[in-house]
Amino acid sequence: MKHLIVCLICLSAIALSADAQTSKFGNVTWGPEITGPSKSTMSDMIASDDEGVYALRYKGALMGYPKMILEYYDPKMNLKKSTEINMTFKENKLDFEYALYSNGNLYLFGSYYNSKAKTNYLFYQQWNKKTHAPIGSMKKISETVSKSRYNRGSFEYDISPDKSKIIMLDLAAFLREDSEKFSVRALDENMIELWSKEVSLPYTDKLFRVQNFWVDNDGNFYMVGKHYFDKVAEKKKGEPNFNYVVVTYKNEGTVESKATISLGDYFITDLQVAPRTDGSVFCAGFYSEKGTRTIKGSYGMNINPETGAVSNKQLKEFEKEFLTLFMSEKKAEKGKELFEFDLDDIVMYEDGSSTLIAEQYYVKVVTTTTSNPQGGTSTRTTYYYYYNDIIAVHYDANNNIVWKSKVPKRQVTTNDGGYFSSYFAVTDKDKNIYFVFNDNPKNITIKEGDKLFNYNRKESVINLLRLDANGEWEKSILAKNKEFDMITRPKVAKLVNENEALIYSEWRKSYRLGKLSFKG
Amino acid sequence: MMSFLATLPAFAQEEDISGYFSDAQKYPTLVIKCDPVLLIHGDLAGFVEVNLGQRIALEGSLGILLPYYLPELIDIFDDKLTNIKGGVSYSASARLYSKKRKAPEGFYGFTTFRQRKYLTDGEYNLNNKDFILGWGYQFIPQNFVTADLYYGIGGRVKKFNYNDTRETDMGGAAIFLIGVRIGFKII
Repeated sequence: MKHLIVCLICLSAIALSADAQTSKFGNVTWGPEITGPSKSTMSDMIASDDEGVYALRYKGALMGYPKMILEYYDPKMNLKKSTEINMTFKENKLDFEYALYSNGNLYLFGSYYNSKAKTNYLFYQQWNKKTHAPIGSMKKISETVSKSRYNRGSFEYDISPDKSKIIMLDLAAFLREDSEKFSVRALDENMIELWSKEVSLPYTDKLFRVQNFWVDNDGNFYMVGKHYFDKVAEKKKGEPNFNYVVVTYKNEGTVESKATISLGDYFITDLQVAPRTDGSVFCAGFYSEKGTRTIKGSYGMNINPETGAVSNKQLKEFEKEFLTLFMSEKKAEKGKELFEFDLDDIVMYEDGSSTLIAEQYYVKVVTTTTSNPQGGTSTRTTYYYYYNDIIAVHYDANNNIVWKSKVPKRQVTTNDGGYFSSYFAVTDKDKNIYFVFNDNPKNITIKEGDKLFNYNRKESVINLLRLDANGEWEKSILAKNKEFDMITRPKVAKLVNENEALIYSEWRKSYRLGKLSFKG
Repeated sequence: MMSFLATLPAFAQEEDISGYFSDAQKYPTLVIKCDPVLLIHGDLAGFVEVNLGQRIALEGSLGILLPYYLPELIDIFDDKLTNIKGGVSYSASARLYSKKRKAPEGFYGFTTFRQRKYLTDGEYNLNNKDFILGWGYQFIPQNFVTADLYYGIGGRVKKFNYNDTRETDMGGAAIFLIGVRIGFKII
């Protein structure tokens, strides 16, 4: 009997330790294994609070339209409620747009295209986050005049870093020769409108592309767009055929500016903006001499949000020493540029310094045709998804580059859209940046500069890598994917508070949620 | 073209939002269509679709079989279909539309019974009866013109009536169909 009790205690201890895994820089607590609906996956982990986790699941359909499912998990990450989203008003079905968590409340947004008025309306409704019952009545929040059901514009949003403000961008239907138009609406955390603005830019729809937009903690709006000069082509006679436009609205939309960003003969490959504490706007990215698929160096500048004036513009090409981390010395000397790096984020620090984070991402399509002995041929197309190294570029408050770092990563997969690839990043107040990604366990111990092994699916480990304030990195194994027979999907991880993130692992129909705490 | 930020006095007030749904479809609706793919095989048919509600619709067709016949795949090697003089066709279908859109627009599943009676100048007449299950999507871009893409699978019962002996011959085959119907939403 005693032996049995000891065995049971040992077994329960093993079971407990299997649900909590730790590394040098953080630890993860996993919820139980859950069997999800077929052909479904996590779409968005909306939020987490003391009462649980709120998530959105996408369910594909063999015929007809895919479905969105709202999920509620208790604080121990057990699935408690799962509801197919069906937004209707008096039997009129709305198209679900997105779910938003604000000030402890859950809101669902849906649109309705009125074919007579040729107008697309956006409505929201508060939902009980646990029972998934609607609360109160549905309210209209914005509208766009549309061309038809199939060209009716779109509704997008962003939430401020402190989650106190929400910005809504209503993009009008595409009309080639008309000017680019959109409306901006700032809301507080209770969906009360703070200000709104209708914007018409002096560019035609066909030559302008909205790239990204943000809202800061004060409800100020920043938007980056790409303007092509005469036709939608990156180059004309070897020169850039575009510039970037940064639009800002401050002080409840009363102060507006438009800055045109160009680097002369250089191609701007990426551009993002972030507000500084002094009120100016930091604008940074990468540039190239050859086109928009390679990068030669990085730039940084300040924009005055009242006048649109650009100041303190700094360009710096990558040194040979940095390039040789990615290529041979010979190629670096020849001036070869880094291939296909996408700028993902700018991290701003209180002292005015900042770090750019970019990942190498591209898709290669290989089509092979083979002949059989009967004389017939068969063609096969394979898509290779490359999610490779990450680079970080750190600027001081004067836009001088202090350091650059290469975070080695190799994730090459085929025909899966890079489902388990890429990374999730979190920063702390000490300027450490933590990267979470699936890695080959052999890469954890190899030396810098050694050839990397490719991420190997279920044999892989979750690498929790810390990049410190000096650009030095250190790897640690957070968990082995094999232990749970599932693979983590960094693309759907979400930071829920200063030191905690939600992560998600799945394999086929089984999945788990995990809470990742950073040791900081 | 673009949205106008209609003044939104206060979200706290209860606003009647019924007006934003003023285009709510009233039933029944009526759509008339023709099928150019069937015309290739000599079947000149007109279709009428009646939508009884947001999801359920009935469709019927009546047509004439033109004095030529480009064989369907299953009849390519059937030499009995060489001397077509004409004939008639009719069909009846029931449709169930998906919940996502309101009929007559959107994805739908259907079941159809179709009959074609061919007159030939030979010693027999042909009577084809088709039973079909399928899926489709009907677009109504401007709430007027319709484009209805469909495909289905089913079975065909072929019956040859011999004029001189009054004897019949039966045969069967599996059928696969794919096509497009274009038309107008009348109501």
